[in-house]
Amino acid sequence: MKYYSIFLKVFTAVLVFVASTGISSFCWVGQYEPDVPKALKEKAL
Amino acid sequence: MIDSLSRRIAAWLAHQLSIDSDTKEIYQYGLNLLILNLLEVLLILLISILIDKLYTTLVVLIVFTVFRGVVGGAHMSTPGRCLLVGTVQIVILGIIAAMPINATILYVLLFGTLLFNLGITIKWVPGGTEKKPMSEPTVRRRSKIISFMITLSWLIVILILIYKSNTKYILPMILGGLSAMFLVTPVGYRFNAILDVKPNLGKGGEKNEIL
Repeated sequence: MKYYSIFLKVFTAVLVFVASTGISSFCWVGQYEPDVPKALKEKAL
Repeated sequence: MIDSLSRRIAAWLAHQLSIDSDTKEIYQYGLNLLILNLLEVLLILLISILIDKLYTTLVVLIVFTVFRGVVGGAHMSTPGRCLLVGTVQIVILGIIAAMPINATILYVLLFGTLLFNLGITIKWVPGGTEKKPMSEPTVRRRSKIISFMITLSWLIVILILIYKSNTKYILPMILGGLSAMFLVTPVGYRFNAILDVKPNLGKGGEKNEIL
């Protein structure tokens, strides 16, 4: 259970990091950009 | 498919962690980006292994990714088209890069690509899109500086390969850099728009030209 909780925390931290690149100048190799969620835009401001 | 998978995983995370809907949206967006890019890289690697062009395709992919991360450029309107066009593009370049080439042509190509990359960096980097315009002067200046540094590092690696007489990976490096930079030019935007079957051809390119 302890490792499961660590896994979830690390996984969500990775997801937040990846999502934050969507509002930075960084561009991924994939040639598609999904719509940036409003919540992320607001957090960036 | 990718969007639906991301939604399901984000819903599962929301259930496990009892998070609000805003955080769930951010997770879903992160999952969307992560799955799409991982899928594209896996597809490219799988196809290149099947056609026995793994190493040249891998070098093209690495160089393309490094340049693309900073310089940006044209995008597709759907994840499916992105997967198809991105994969085919890199695999074709990997196949071309594995072909034997005359040393003189290789050096001419290297010199031409160097000038092309420097010119594109000065004039068009970073290549923005409607979703990510990258019009702020500070962001543009920073991207140009990093792009110069990457081009310089790219040249140094190629010169080391020439010095060590290991010319096998020079063409993949040239093609990787060239293709990433091409997608920043207005012609690159128009080219992607044609592949994307967009009614408004070259919109991003013109926008980028103005910026």
